Amino acid sequence: MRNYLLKRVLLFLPTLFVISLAVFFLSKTIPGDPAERLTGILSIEGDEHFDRGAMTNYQRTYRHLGLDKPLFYFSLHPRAREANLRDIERPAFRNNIKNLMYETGKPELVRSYFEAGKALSRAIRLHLDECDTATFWADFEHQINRASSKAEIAEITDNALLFMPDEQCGFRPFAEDWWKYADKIGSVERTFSWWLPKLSWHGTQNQYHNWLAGILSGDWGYSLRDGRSVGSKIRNSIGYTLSISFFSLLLTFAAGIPLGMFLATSKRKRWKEILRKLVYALYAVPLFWLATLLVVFFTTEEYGKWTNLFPSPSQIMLHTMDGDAGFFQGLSYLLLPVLCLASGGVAFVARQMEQTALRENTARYITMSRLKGNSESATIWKHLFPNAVFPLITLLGALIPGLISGSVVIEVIFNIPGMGRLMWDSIFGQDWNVVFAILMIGAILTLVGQLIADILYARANPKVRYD
Amino acid sequence: MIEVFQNRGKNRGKVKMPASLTLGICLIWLFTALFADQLANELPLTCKIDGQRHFPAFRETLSKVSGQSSPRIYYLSKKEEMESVIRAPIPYSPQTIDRANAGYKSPLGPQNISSLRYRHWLGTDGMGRDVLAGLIHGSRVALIIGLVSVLAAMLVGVLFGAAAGYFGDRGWRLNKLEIAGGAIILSVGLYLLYLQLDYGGSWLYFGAWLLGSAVLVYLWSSTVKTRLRAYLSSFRISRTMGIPLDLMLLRLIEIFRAVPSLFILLALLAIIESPGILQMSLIISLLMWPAFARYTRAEFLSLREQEFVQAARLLRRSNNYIIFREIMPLAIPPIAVAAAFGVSSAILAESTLSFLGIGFSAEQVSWGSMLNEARLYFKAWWLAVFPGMAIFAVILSMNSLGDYISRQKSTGIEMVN
Repeated sequence: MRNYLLKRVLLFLPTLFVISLAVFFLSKTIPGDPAERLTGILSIEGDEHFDRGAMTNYQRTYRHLGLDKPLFYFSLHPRAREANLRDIERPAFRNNIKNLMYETGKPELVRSYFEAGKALSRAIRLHLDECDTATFWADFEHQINRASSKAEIAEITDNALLFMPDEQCGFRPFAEDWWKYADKIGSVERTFSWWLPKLSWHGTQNQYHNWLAGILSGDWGYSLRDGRSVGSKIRNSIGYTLSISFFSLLLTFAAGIPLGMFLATSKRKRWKEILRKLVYALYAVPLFWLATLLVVFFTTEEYGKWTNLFPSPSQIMLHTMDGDAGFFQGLSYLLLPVLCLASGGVAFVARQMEQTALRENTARYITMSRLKGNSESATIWKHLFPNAVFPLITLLGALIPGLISGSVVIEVIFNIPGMGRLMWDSIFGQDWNVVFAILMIGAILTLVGQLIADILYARANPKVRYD
Repeated sequence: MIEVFQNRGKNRGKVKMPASLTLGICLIWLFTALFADQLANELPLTCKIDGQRHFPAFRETLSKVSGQSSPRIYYLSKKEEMESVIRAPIPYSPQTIDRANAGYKSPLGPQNISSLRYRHWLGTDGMGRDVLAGLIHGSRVALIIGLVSVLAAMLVGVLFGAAAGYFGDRGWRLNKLEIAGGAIILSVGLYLLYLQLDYGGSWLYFGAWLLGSAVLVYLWSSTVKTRLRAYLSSFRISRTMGIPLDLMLLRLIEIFRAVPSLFILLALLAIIESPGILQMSLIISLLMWPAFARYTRAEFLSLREQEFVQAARLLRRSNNYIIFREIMPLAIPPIAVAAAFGVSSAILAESTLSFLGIGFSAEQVSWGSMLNEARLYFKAWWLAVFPGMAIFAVILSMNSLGDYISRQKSTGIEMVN
């Protein structure tokens, strides 16, 4: 048993590692830019001439978030391109430079060209009033930045030569420097081996490492949307989710187990048939439909005075935001979500319970108990029930992660600011720090829950052994 | 991971939904899905334009099947010239906007219509679209989603699960040459895929690679393997290694289980903007295949120890023969059960996504997206009740179909996780 446990726990590590990789890279493929969101710039490429202050602000945020770093410890890439182009903040520039690298097959040359271009535009801005050609170059700078192919660069180098600034111009050396590289790019030929793979090692200065190190050292970072710490956001939401899950779990088992036992052992045939059909139908009712029906019919006075039984989702939202709801009022808010969440669970547990009880009912020890003259209720509750109920233990283990992560559907419909809702909002807001934290907590809980279920199962049933 | 079914294979069927009800729901569903264009369409079934007979509603179906452009715009422009028109039973398409009846017209209340023929029997939504027409066309969406995603998930899940269950961790043995060849082909393929995605260009490039590598694999496995094996054995290359298929599958399933399916769905839906029905089904099937793999694996795990399999091994039957001819026929009934439950969970997944407003684009009507509208306006009970009823009926009938199959052909094999 101990060996088995050790093996299971050791197997967690690679699984968690792969999960962290999968989650990290999946999040990187989702379009959208957290720096854009944080600085309030709608789209960095949307406006051609948006002001320089905003741009600097964006660049600073971009670097602060570490988005300029490579993604992983190493990268495999064609010889033609550089391993990491993320240090170029503007996506359009990044693409241009990448295209140029692929076209020329000379990443160092293109990089120096890019740096020279950057220095040139800085110099032009400094010396704008000094020379006659400066206004031309100020317009020209725009073309320089937009050039994305060898042909385009060849064209602008020809133009640039005509308007080369005078000797006394402050940015003349920068222009010459830039022109030198641009001219080279226009004439360079790509070698055959441009597509061959090349391995670059980035060391620990990469986004994945920084994120993982943060998680492991307990620093989960800050929300990219409102700057609050991830820990406090989760602490705020987990209470709602935990209370809903706790009550619905309680209801599920408190109603499901007796119902299942009733279905399995009762003598009232007609009631049994009706209940069985009901349970079967309840199992097929989509959760979101049930919730919608309850919200539509029982939270407003649209269908008569008496139908306004429960607080409506908008009320729930208002009060949870204020945080002034009293205990009993809070309970009344939880009533509908708990009912919805528990309904499917009750049907499932009842069916499971019924099946295991029916199977155990044919066992010899039950017949023996009856033959000994034990009363029917003693037979059922002392012998049948304990044996029939323990397969439900595995179910308990499977439910643990759901306790924390909550039900997105329910929380969205009822406007409850729980964990499911937090994850939902964070994914749409590209608030990756929060999303990652929730996902990793969920993953660990899932793995631990499975393990606990297996251990409990082995404890309850001596026939099960893990070696 | 979307759970296809939960231990229900054990269920020796205590509840019997009337077979006629199940069958009835399935038949109605199939019928409306197949003839949606003829049942609810603003284009007439048949009409005369300039003395010539046309069949617009049928033309529309034909254009959808063959992928041509829809004749809808042409016929809508000829609306005035149509003569001797026979209309569809519900003279509205799901996207038809009836401005006179916009703003949630109740099925019971008064409606702005010229005759009973044009009544919205199940009411309208905020824009004036007919609910019944939406329901009818939504059944087609549900059918495609259910079938395609289950078939795709089954293809991957059953094959992987069968291999993992049959071979275990050591059964599938490859020699060093084969492992090296496979690894090279795989890594070259992945690298080229990366290059393609990074550098851009046309997908032709990738297709050519796919074709080329398939040819390579074929040549390699058919000729190199047999002819060179004897020669290569002198280099001690023929020593074989077991591939831990079972371990790989179990870890993969664990990963799928530990990452919430909502995150995977949202990530994929964000990458593929406004997905069509086919893309949606494939995304759902991505989350469903682990369930099929788990189930098939369990079946194969218990069947491979049986005597008939050992007999086949002694007869030197090939692994392929044993997997597909000997074991698979016995594993089909439980897989069919899982498939029936899979259809219902795929439909549930799609309608939940559409309900949350992250599924299809706005113009694609599905049952879930209709339910979504009910949240905007509580008075419109018909928007909450009818689409939900359709989902409920289909799920119920699929569940009872699954139970029915498991009652008919219970192999008596319990699930081994």
